[in-house]
Parts: sequence; structure tokens; C-alpha cells
Amino acid sequence: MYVDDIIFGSNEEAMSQSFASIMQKEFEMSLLGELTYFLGLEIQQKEGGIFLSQTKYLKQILKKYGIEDAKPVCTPMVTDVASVQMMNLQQYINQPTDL
Amino acid sequence: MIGSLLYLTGTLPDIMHEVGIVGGFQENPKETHLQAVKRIFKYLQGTQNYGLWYPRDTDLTLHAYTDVDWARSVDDRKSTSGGAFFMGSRLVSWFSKKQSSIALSTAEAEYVAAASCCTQLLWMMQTLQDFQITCTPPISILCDNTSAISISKNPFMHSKTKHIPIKYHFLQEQVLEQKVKLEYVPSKEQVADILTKPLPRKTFEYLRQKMGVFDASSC
Repeated sequence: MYVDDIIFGSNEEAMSQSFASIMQKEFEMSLLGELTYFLGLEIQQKEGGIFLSQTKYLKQILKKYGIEDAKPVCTPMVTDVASVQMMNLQQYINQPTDL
Repeated sequence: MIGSLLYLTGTLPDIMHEVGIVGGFQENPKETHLQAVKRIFKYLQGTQNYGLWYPRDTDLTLHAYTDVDWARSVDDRKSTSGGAFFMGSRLVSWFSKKQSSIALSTAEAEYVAAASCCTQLLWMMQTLQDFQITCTPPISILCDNTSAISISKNPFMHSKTKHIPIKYHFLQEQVLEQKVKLEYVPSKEQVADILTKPLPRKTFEYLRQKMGVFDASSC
């Protein structure tokens, strides 16, 4: 059997540690410590709670598509109905009879 | 481009609906669709440090918000369902999906969306039970349409509702068995709104923070 990654957690620090040592006895594995990064997901464990983000991945794709320097907008889509309808209608531009 | 946006919806439910819309045009994309995708990226450019915030808190009460945008789609007139599932103040699951059948009224569309929410909630309740977290039924589904709430409480068919496919009346049964209950929430507090339609800035920002999407520096 081959396992790439495992995440475990507990309310009790001691339980977490004893589980890790049991696992290490049984399997060949390395312990990376507190969870901070998993499959592109950034995890910040803070005093008041846990924060999940994908900032690194987002920066990477903004760079890939050359949008790093664009002027930011406040919402992800325009609200006027007409422009949404326009998107719907433009699908038929090559075969207007399909509509 | 859309694939990477979809991946980002994992921590950014605020772009879920917009990504869904542009995703629908992938087969035959045109200029306007590319512009819409670029707009999403420009929005993300300004919210690079945003993510989901799960505050440390003992309240684990399960509840859901459900909303629809009725017959928005001009070519097929189907409605969009949105659902947001919370444990306490933490957003744990969400969806934004075009309904598979055409609804004749907003009430019908809301009723169908609430039924989808109900199935998800039942599954979540079972999973939580496996973790020995007890949720006391009935679980609240918050909805801003009073007619849909009335239909859910009325186990009798009448002329306005008897055409609704039977599978959605699953909701009535669950309400009757007190597994879930539909409750009213005013539209401006309706978090699921963000998952069904593009919103103006003020509403968008208000609902975004209500969902628990914050800038890293503010947490």
C-alpha cells in the first residue's frame, strides 16, 4: 500500500502526538508538522479560528493569463440584465435559426 | 481559464455563480463570454488575499439558505438554484446550479431549490452523526419566498402545485416528519442570493462577508 498524504487532527495535542508515533512505528513516513498547505489550499491556524485561501494559486493563474496589472473591479459580473441576455444570444450568432 | 476558476470556487464561493454562467458557454464561446471571464479575473485581482474564515466557536448548529433566480436564462427559461449550508457561522457547503425543469412561478422555483437543499441537509446530518455531532431536527432552511414556505407545509395537492414533479414533494414529507423546516428570511439577509444572480456592489459585499469570505488581514 502507498499513501501520498494524510491529514489528521484532534482537540487534544497529546492525542495527535500519540497517533503520529503509532503511525510512524507502523509505516515509513515523515511528519510535516502543523497543516499549512494541502493541494493548493493554504491553511492558516490562528488564535481566533482557521483561515482557508488559495492566494498562491490565484497569483499564479493571474500571472499565467496576464491579468496581474489589470485594474481591479468590485464585483465579478455586471448586473444589468441586457448584458447577460447578450451572452445568451451570442451563442446563436453563427446559426441564428437555432434560437 | 474556466477550469482554474472552478478550482478557486473551493475557497471563494462569491464567484461560484459567475463561474457557472461562463462555464455554460464553453462549448461555443464568443467575445462577450471572454469579456465576462476577464471581468471575473479582474475582480479576483482585487481580492487576492480573500478566503474562507472559520472562527473558533462552539456553536455547530446546522442551517441552510436557499434562493433562486427565476427564469433568468432567456433561451431556455430555466431558473438557477443556490444553496449555502452553515454550521454556526461557518460556511461548509454551497451550490449554484441551473434547475433541470422550467418553473412556472418563483414559488415553484424556490420550492424545487429547497427540495435540493433538503437532500443535501439530510446527507450532512448523517455524516455529522458519524462524527458524533448531534443536530436536533428540524433543521432550518431559510427562504425568502412565503409561498414556497406555505407549499412545503401543505400536504394536499391543489391546482397551482399538482404539476410539480413528485420528486420535489419529497420536501413536504421531510417537513411533515419534522426533519427540516422552512423559515422566512428577508431578501436582504438572504446569503444564497450571491449564488444565483449578479449583485450590485453594496449587496454583494454585505453578503460576501455574511458568507465568511474575508481578507486575510482582517481575520
